[in-house]
Amino acid sequence: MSISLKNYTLKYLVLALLVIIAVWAALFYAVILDELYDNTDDGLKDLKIQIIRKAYIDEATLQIKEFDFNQFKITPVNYSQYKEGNFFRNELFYMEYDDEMEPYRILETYFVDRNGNYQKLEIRTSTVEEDDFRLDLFFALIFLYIFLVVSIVLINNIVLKKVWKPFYITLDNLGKYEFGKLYKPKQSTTEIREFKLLDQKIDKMIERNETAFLQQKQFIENASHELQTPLAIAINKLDLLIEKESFPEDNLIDLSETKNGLIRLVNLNKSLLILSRIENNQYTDKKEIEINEVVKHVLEDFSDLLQFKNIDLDFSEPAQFKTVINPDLAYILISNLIRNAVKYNSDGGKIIVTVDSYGVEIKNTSIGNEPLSELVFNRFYKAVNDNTSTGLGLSIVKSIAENHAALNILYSFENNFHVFSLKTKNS
Amino acid sequence: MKKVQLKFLAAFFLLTGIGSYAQESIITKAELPNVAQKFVSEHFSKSTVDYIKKDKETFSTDYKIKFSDGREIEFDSDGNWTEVDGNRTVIPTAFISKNILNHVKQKFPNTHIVKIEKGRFGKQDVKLSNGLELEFNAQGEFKRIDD
Repeated sequence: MSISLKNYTLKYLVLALLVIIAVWAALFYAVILDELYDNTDDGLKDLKIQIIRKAYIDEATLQIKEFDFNQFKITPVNYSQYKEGNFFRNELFYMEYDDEMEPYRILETYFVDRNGNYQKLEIRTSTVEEDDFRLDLFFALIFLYIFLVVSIVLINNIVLKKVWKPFYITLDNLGKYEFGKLYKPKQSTTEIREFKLLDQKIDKMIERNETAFLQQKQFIENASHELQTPLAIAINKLDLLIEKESFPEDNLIDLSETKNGLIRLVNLNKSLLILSRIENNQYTDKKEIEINEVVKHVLEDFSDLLQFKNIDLDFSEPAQFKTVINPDLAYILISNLIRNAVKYNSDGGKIIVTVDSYGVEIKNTSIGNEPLSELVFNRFYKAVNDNTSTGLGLSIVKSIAENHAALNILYSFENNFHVFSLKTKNS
Repeated sequence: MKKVQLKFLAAFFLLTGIGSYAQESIITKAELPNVAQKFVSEHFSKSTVDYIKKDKETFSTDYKIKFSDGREIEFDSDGNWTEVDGNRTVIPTAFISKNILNHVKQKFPNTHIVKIEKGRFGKQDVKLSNGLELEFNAQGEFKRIDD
């Protein structure tokens, strides 16, 4: 299961954010509360000074023994209870306004009055707002966290999606790239340095590939051409010699056989060229072809030969077989199979050709009733020592099938028939 | 029992002897610096002396005089007072800066000073009878309440 890059980091971000905010929130809360209490405490201490001062001026102050609107109370104590310093505590008191117990902060301190008596002074102030503050802060932080996470997710999806688009275009281009075909990439403008670099490098690589490919293609074509010319000349000269008829019959036979040998070379050259081109994916012009039509075409082309050898042809097409293939290769494929079926057939033999939705089946009777070896598809393998055969016919068939994404060529021997089936891979 | 007490005492003195770099000794009034003597006779003429202690530290010498009424004074090596502690009772104020006295009278009427102590850079800490502590600078200007 692979996650898109933009979502991969999201997991970690969300988790990290949770931890960070939790820690920060705790610290922040502690600091703020400390500050707030500090503030309150300072206020209480200031009141203390004023109250003690008043107590020295007006003795009536000492009579305030209960918290009422004065918000302080003074209680006489004895020497053993006298303590130096300020003592703070939090306590709940009933607040009429809210009709419930509310938190107060109390300062407890001791002083000596005008008459030398020890007094305990308690001053209180309400901290209602501070406790509400605590709750508000808590919810605010939760909201902050949610908001941050949502923002990040949105930014991720909107911004990153846009950022990664050129990369996906590049991937798409690479997917469509075919060796030998003109590379027309969809233009992607990106500000991301890495993607720009990637595109540049890919373009360079493709350029190199294409150059190499072109050179190779040209080499094969040139080589083949170079071979054809001298062969053509030689055959021509031999033809002229033969036509002159000034040679004795033995010589004419020799000349004829020489010519045949050269013709074989020509065929070999052509076949090798075809094979090389197939394997270099140089047949790039693919179309959806109805094989039924190709088969019928080939059978028509061979009709003379079929008649000559008195072969009984049985052609049926219960369904149409369509596939995406180079039209020339399709013809060569079927033609090579049919040629073999005719060539290695006995006179008066039978050929059964069937085309259905899975492929083509070509059966033929033969001279010898032995199954062929699996090596029959190998280059230059000849089942029968035949000087006119290049031994490449079935190799070419196999090459074409292998280069096709969905076709398979199989051989079997059934009921004294050699069966060659060209079927789609998943049937 | 007594042997154990003796051993304990011996150990105690030994430790205190090793631990302290101060040498404390009891002295007479006459052995105080003149300035200190003058101070005592001027402001504490009516008080009876309990004891006078001389504390010799590595860099300075301090003097402490304790009166029978519980009050005490501390002097530095020159004999100037560094602390006058009334032990919660009133102390004489003649030697105290007028600024301080005025401030106390104004801001805290009906109170009196029970302790005054000199600190670094001339600061003076004043403790009032109501329990509050005030801080003044060398000139006697009020700085803050020490609470």
